[in-house]
Amino acid sequence: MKKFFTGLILDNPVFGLFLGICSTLAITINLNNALGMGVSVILILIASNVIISAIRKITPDEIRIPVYIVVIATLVKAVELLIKAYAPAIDVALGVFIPLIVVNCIILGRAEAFASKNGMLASAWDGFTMGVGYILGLVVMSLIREILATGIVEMVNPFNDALIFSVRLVPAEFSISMFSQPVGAFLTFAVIAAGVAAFRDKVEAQTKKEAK
Amino acid sequence: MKKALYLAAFLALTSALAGAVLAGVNSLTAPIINDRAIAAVKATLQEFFPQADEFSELDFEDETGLITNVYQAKDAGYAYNVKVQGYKDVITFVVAFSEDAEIVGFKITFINDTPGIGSRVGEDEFSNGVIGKGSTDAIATLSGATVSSSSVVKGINAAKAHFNAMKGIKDDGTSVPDPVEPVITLGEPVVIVSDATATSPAEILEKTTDGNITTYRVSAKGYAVLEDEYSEDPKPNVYVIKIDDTANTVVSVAYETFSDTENIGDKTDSETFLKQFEGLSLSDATASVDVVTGATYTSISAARALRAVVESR
Repeated sequence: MKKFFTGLILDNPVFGLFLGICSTLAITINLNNALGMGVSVILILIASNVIISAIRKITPDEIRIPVYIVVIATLVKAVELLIKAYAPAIDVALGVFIPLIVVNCIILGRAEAFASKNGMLASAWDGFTMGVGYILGLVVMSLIREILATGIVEMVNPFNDALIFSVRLVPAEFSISMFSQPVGAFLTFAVIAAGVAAFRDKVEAQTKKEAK
Repeated sequence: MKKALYLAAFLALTSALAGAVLAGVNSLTAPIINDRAIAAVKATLQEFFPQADEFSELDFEDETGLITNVYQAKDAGYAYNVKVQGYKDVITFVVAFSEDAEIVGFKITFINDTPGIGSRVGEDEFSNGVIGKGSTDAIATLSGATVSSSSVVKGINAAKAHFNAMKGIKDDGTSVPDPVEPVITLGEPVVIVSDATATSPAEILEKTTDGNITTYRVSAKGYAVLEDEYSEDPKPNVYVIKIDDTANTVVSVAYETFSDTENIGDKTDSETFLKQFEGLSLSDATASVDVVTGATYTSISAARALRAVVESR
C-alpha cells in the first residue's frame, strides 16, 4: 500500500511523468472542471486500456498506433456526446479540452507502454491507477488555484447544476485573481512539480542508503 | 502485397466498428443535445413569439457565415442567432421575423464594445430602428458607433437575405434607411446660480441691445477645456443667450460654436435640452435645468454661460 501511494506521487502522470500537462494547465480553474475532466479521462483511459489489451494479439504491429488512435478517438467522441447530452455544464466549462483528450499523452502513452503488452485485468488496473494519479494532480492544482483566486471551494452537480457545497475559506478581499489566469496555472504547477522532485530526491537517497 | 492488404483490411474493419459504435451513441444523444440547444434560446424565442409553443432548429445554408442558428417558431415566424465581429470583440444577437416578414424581435446577447459608444447598439436607440421594419427595409447605422452598428446591420442583412430567400421575397435593395434620432434623456437638475457652478466661470464676449431684448455671446468652458489633455487644442463652447429686459426672463439659449465631443456633448444642442432655458426668470435664485444624461459637463457649461449673464446684470 505504501508503494501504491509513493507511486501515486512519484509516478504521478502530471507531476512525475509530465504527461497531459496541456489540459491540466488549462482547465484547473476550479474543482468542478478538474473532477469533470478527471472522470472523463479515467473512464476513457480504463476503456482504452482494456480494449487495446483485448485486441493486442490480433493487432498487426505495423499499424498498432493508427488502431490505438481509432480506438481512443472513438471513445473520446462517445464520451463527448454523452457529456453534451447529460452534463452540458461540463461541456460549456471544458469546451475544446474534451475532444482534445484524444491527444492526451497519458492515454496513448499507457496504451503503448502497458496495455499492448499486458492482460485485460492488469491493463484496467493500470488505467485506474494512472487515472487516479491524473485526477489527484488536477484536484490538487484546482484546489490551490480556486482557493487563491476566489477564496471559495465549490462543487456543483454537473447533471442538474445543483450546488452541492460552497465554502468560503479566504475572505474575498484576500483573493488573488491572477491564479485563475494561465500565469497562475504555471506558478502552481512549477511549485508542485518542484515539491514532487524534492520528494523524489529524498526517496532515492534513502533507497541508496538502504542498498549500501 | 498480401500483408499490405491484410493491414488495410484490419484498419478498415477497426474504423468501421468505431463508426458503428459512434453512430449508436449519436442516435442516442442527438435528440437530447438538440433539445438542450433549443432550451438555451427558448426563453428569448418565447419573448419574441409569445403565442408560439413549438420551436425547432433548422438546417440552413448561409454564404456570409454570420448566421449561427436558425430557429422556427411554428406558425409564428423565424429567429436567427447571428455572430458578427464588432469593434473589439464579437457581438452576438438574435433577430426574429414574423410570418408576414416583419422584424418582431432584436436582442443583443453578447457585446464587449466600448461602453457608451459601441454598446449603444444594445440600447433602444438602435433597436427601435430595427423592430417593426420589414424584411426588405434597410437598417440605419448609428453615427458615432459606426463600426459596432454597421457590423450588426451586416448581420441583420444576412438574416434578412436568408429569410427572404426562404420566403421567396424579392429584395430590390433600393430601400433607404431612416436616420436614427439620438435619444436624449434628461438627468439631474443643475441650478443656474449655485456654488457648484462657481468654478471656471463663463466669459461674456459681446453684448448687444435691440429694443428690450439683450443678446449676449458667452464663452463657457466645456468638457474639452476641463480635460485639457483630452483634446489637442481645447476650445470653449460659445452660446448666444437672448434676455427679455422688461420681463427679466430668458428668451432663448443657442449654440454659436460647439467644441465638445461629437455624438456625446452635442446631445445638448437639441430642443429637449435648450427649450428648458426659455422663460427662466433671472431673478429666481432656484431656477434650474436638467442635464442631458451622458453629456453632463457640456450641459453644465450651458448653465455656466447663463450664470455669467445673470451675474453681469
